[in-house]
Amino acid sequence: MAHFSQLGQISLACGFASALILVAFLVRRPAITHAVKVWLLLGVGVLPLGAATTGNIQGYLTTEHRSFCGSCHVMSRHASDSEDPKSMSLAARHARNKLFGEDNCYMCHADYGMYGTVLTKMGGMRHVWLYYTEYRNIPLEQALPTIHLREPYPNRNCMECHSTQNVLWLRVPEHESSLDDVRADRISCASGGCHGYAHPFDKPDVPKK
Amino acid sequence: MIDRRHRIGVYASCVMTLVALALMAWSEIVPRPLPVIIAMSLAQGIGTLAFLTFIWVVVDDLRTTRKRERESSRPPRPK
Repeated sequence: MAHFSQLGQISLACGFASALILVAFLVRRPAITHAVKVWLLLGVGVLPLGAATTGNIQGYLTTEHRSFCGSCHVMSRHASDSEDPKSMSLAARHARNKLFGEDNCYMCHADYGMYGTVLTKMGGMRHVWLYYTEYRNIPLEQALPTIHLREPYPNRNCMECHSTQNVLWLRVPEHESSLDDVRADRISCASGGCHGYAHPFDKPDVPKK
Repeated sequence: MIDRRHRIGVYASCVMTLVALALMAWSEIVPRPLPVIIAMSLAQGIGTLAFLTFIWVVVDDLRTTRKRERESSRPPRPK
């Protein structure tokens, strides 16, 4: 059985109550008096508005869950790697952190700029478009080598948490020597030579297990 | 009493609301990209259209009723 959040439950309850009023009206077809109009205002206006508001917030939150990203088959390996407690990939290690947890895809791939939320959602819509127009009928093994980021992964996303200003962080010789390059995105934190790829299974230079 | 045109408007509004609610419920039960996108766009549009149709029926019905009342309370013209 599907697990519904509180918002989802409120949305479904409002929708159910509204449907009850409307179906009763359509079946019984009473004369449209003032009292019936008030009932219809509930069924057509107030309750659907409640269902839509809570449903939209819930829908927005749903798009941040890993299960949502992994529901397209081409992302299933990315999601299952994140869920694997034995995996040592960057994605899996971050998913084990409570701050990232179930939302680790979104937390790492979100744009944190001023219009970040809008840009991230627009990027997500592009993914959906690509999935339904190009990837839907392609087997996972065939799709994986063709999936790539449009632009190199920005270190500023890592720096949302790892500020590069912490004394302990700066004490690491590799960090100290590459500080300017890291801040300027000339060296990627998530590269083979540094902390490893976030999703190593789809990289050609990583030996398969 | 509401006329036939308004009655059809109310029925259309009810059916559109039920369709919008079904699409919203679908996204709650199957939280995958397509249902969620449809619920947050198409369903909102249909629901809004349904509500506007209902408001139009109520306002137009009120206007028609008042017009009828005014005409019936007016004294007959002298011949």
